[in-house]
Amino acid sequence: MEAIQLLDMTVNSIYGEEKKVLKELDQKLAPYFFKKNDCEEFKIALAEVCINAIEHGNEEKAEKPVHVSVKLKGNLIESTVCDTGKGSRLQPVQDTDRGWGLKLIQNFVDSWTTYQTDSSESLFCVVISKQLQSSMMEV
Amino acid sequence: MEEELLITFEQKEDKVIVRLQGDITKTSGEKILKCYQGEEGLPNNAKMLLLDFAQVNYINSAGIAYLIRLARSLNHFDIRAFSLSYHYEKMFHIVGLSKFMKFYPSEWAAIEG
Repeated sequence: MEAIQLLDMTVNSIYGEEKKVLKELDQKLAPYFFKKNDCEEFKIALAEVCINAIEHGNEEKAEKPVHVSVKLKGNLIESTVCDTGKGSRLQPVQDTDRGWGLKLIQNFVDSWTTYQTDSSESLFCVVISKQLQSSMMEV
Repeated sequence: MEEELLITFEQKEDKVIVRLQGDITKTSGEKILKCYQGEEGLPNNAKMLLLDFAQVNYINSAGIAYLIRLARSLNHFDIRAFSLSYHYEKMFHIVGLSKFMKFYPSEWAAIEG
């Protein structure tokens, strides 16, 4: 089964840009019959990965790009989010103020991994994936 | 792209309904904290705090952190949240907000308990 490219876009490192990604993904998922809650949970995790890239990866420097790719293979949706930062920084909750992003990602997707590219432009990427259930079985 | 958070208060006897409209994110945090910091604060005779999420379409981890601070500061109130979508209610459970508040499907259900 071939993967379908749902999204391949770049946003600036400004808070709120992650909502552009979610809006685009909403439109791309509209023709499919997946459970709404599964899609919403994936979107929450994707937003958190984007925020991590904006805030920690690109240090909120607006001109630095965050690249988002989303693919669908059958019922498996997978997203790769890359920024120009270095090193792992998805940290667990340290106090009550911040750090909930990782916990939400862990709870709302089936798997997540990170990797660093060693090409000329070093990129830090987070990959998340989730099996979406069909809404056709809800009748 | 972010939708500014608007907060309005309605008092019904010893109940205060806090109507939230917009996004709950890092940028809306200060407004959320004002709920207990006095400037637009809660009446002294209030006992029950009802949080209306019907017009909230986006909550992220930075916003949730402010809600946790709010809930911790107001834990002497009977806090009830209503009209939360399923995935955000699940989010609230994951981060432990369910220790501070109960969830209801509607305003009526929240008031009736």
